[in-house]
Amino acid sequence: MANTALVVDDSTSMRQMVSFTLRDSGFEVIEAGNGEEALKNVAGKDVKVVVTDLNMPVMDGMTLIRRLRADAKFKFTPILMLTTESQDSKKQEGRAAGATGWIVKPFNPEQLMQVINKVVR
Amino acid sequence: MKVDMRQFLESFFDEASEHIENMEAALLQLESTPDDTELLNTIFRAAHSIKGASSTFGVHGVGEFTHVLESLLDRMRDGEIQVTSETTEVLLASVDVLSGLLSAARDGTAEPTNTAEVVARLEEINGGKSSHASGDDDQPAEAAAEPSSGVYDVLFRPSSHFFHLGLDPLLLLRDLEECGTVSEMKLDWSQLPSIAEMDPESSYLAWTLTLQSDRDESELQDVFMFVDDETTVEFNKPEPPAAEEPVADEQEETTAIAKADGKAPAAKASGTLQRESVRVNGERLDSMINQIGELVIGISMVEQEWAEISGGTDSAAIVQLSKIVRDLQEQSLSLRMVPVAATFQKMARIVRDLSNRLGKKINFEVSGEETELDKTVVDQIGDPLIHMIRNSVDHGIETPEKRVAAGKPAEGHISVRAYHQGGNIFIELKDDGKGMDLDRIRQKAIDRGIVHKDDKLSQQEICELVFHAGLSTAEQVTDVSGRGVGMDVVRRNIEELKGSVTLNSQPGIGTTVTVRLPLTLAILDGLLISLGSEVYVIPLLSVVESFRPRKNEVKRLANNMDVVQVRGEVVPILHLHSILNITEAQSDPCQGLLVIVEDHDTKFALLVDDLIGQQQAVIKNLEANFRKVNGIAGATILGDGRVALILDIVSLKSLTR
Repeated sequence: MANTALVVDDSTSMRQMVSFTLRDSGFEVIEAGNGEEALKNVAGKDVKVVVTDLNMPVMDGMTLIRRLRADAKFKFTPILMLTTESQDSKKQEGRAAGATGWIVKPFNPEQLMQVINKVVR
Repeated sequence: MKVDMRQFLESFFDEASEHIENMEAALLQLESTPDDTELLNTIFRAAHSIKGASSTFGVHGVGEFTHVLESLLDRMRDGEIQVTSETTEVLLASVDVLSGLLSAARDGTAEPTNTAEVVARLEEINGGKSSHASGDDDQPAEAAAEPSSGVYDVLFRPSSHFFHLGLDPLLLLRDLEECGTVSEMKLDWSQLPSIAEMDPESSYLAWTLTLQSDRDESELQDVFMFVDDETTVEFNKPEPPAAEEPVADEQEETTAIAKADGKAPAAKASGTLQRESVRVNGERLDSMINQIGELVIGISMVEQEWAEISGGTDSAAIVQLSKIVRDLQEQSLSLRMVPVAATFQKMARIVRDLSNRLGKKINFEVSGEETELDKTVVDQIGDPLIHMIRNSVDHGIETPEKRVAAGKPAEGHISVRAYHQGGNIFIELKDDGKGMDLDRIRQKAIDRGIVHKDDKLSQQEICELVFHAGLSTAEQVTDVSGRGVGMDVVRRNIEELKGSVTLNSQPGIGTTVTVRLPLTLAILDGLLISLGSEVYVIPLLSVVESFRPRKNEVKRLANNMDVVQVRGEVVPILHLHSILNITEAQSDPCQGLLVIVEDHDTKFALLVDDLIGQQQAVIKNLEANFRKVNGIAGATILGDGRVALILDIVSLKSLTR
């Protein structure tokens, strides 16, 4: 069975790019446009890695990370957040919420997979 | 891995324009409610999304610009910089620049010329504070600058909650192994508590190892880039390194990490691309809608032929097919429908810019912006609407002083509203300004010989004089009436869209302009009538009623004009057959039928032989295939394959005068 990744971003183009890259590397991908949708779409599924944007409507990435970590199923799942370079405080906040690491925007598919390979094998 | 980023560009551009629209709308709102932090968040989020995606997809000019914009927005969001009219002004200018940069990247149009100027203004407001992120302290430990490499003694002690961050010590150790040769790895379990005290989800272990690698220390530190602050990672050099080549210190993004991953990427995309919207060339869409229109005609022909062959029994297959075709047509037409919101937003922007410039206070209210119209109609109605809103701001709404003097609130009110009614879309533009000077307009019209000085005109009729070319192009009228320049053009544009415009103004109270537009230009509900052996289509929207008059209801006036009395109202009769040169048609109203039609509140009766029925007509443009014919709006193809002309009520009306 292929590894499944959860990709959460309110930007369709970013989500498409991340999902495409992951699928290209053999992942199955569950997509969501915000945290709430992510929680809904991922319910009952086994996920190997989560990649989430931080700024999103309805439920932002930070809340999503906290909610996922509170769920026994996602206690040890690597969660990567998409950030921009000016958001050092966000990285700290993300870490406190339980994020595993981050991917700095802008990034290309190669860089994305390098980071993902750091946390999931 | 080679992924072609261009495949995501279309989505990116669509998204970016949407974000820009949202930014603009929120900015305009922010002006009246500067304390609304949610609006600032919306604006920030939009800028942030554009920034992240534009750099990723290689649209760098946009990325750099948004970066500057975002820095300012971030500080505004934190309350460090207040929302003032100046900031809003600059932010709106930024929205324009952004929009220009995006179309430059998308369509190859010229880049906006004022980019540098706007950047300078943004940075000025931002207090000259460097908009660039201060140094990257992403590395958990300080990256040693030593360019040398060699043998390291490594200590790695994960924090107790390491697992709860989704981290795995084993993965990191393996990564390290890929960086060189690991020897003498030792597990330190000295911190391990007794079984009774042990939390299986905590980490108690540490590792020491010797690593021989030709990478420099900062590269090795990169392996541990995600560990938390409580985790210990130490690289110690036990002895001076052997002579070796220094490795260039690459200043890459923190994402550029150990390049040891030799995994070959999957050759082909394994999943399908999910799309929420697709951009389609308008011509292709039109051509498809046209073909579906032909299909509708085709199925009508089949139905008719079947009816003849079968003598009236239904064919289940044809009924089914016919339903599918008609659904298909409905759906295809809906593809062209877009909301009027974007146009309304442009109007909001103009009200804002213009009122600022003129020193007026205006509260602009929009409703029904989700109302959908044919894209062609939306595209073409933009200019007339903007023209009218300019008129309202410029000439309609008075200065605050004058308003107060007239006993009105200092702030003027303009509202624009779109709504559906009876198969039409109405757009209503209302202001509470000073209204039009009816006496002056009337006088001008008399001077120009448009009306006679003895003509009795209703207030409504005087208002509508401004649509008259002779009046509205006159420069003086602008000064006198405050309205009018180009109103004839506005009306013509709207009528070209098969719509109409009415205007009502009350001196001192305000002006209301109502534009009626058809939902779509491609199709209309028609009333089929026969005239001799010919069939014509009358747009059902114009039809009021039809009846056969009695002898005493029809009168011939001195000027040879026939009229009919309908419930006390006198309505002129138009002998369609003589206009259209049809000889064998009925010429006596009492033997044929009169169809009363209406345009701009003027009614007239069309004399026809008989009514055939109602039908949706797919409009074929006559001009495109032949030439413009007075009185004819276009042609359509009937179920039996015959061509029927569609009557143009607006231009027929002129024949009654």
